[in-house]
Amino acid sequence: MAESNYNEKMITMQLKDENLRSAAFSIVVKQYSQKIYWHIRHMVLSHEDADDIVQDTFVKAWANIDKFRGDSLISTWLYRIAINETLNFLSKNRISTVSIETSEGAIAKQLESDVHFNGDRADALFREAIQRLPEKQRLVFNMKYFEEMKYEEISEILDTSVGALKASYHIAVKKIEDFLSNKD
Amino acid sequence: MKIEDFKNKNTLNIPEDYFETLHSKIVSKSCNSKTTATPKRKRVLGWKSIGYAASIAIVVFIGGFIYNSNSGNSHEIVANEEFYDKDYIENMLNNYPIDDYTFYCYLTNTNMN
Repeated sequence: MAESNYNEKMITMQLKDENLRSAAFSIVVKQYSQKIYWHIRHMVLSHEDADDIVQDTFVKAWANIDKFRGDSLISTWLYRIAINETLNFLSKNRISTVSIETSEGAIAKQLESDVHFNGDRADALFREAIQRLPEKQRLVFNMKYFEEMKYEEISEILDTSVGALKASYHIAVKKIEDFLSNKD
Repeated sequence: MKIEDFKNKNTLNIPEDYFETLHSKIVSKSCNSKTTATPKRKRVLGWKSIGYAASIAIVVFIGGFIYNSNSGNSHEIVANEEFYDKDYIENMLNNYPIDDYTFYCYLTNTNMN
């Protein structure tokens, strides 16, 4: 569980102090590991993949802790690393964009056989509809829909204007609803 | 189907106690490893330093070669100067009876025969 008395300013200062760095980073992991895990999980769906990526994210954050100057929030910095790691993973595994040739329902079928998925057919199709979105649209949709982030927060992380994010989200919603309406 | 229908459904599961073990796994993986800044401080000679050293060595080698070449020429000049030394010639003229032709041959270094 996240620390209730978490103090961002204090932790940022402690991360710059070599003697306090390890303890401060442990608090950061406790504070953000769940959020970062779910962010990654919604993108890759597989628990095993999300587990690997979330660990790589924090290991990379620790390795580059000297580069964190505190100009942005720790969470913003971690989200950026997590997004890079996730997109690299998807790119390497060539599952970033679902090809047109992939038959409709194939992703849902694969998901239904996953031990870490407990939804019905409709839930699986909903996840498939999201997976068929372009990466950036999928990121925006997940951050808004599942993580309930404000557009301003998403804008800071993705370095994209609020207007563009709103447009991207509404296009994503339309695409998902169109996909699902064909399955009714 | 509307997307709001899926909003509060938690369909993705995680293993039991996953986040408790995740924290310890991350901390042991990261805090036991060094940050990127540490090895940089330990580096004594980088590729740039080696490049500079090599450049200096080449300049010194070429400079030494040129100096030695010039030094060789200077020895020849000294020898010639000794050959045409004024005191030596005056001494020859005053103490040894030589005619003008012999003296000419001596100065021009030509064979008298």
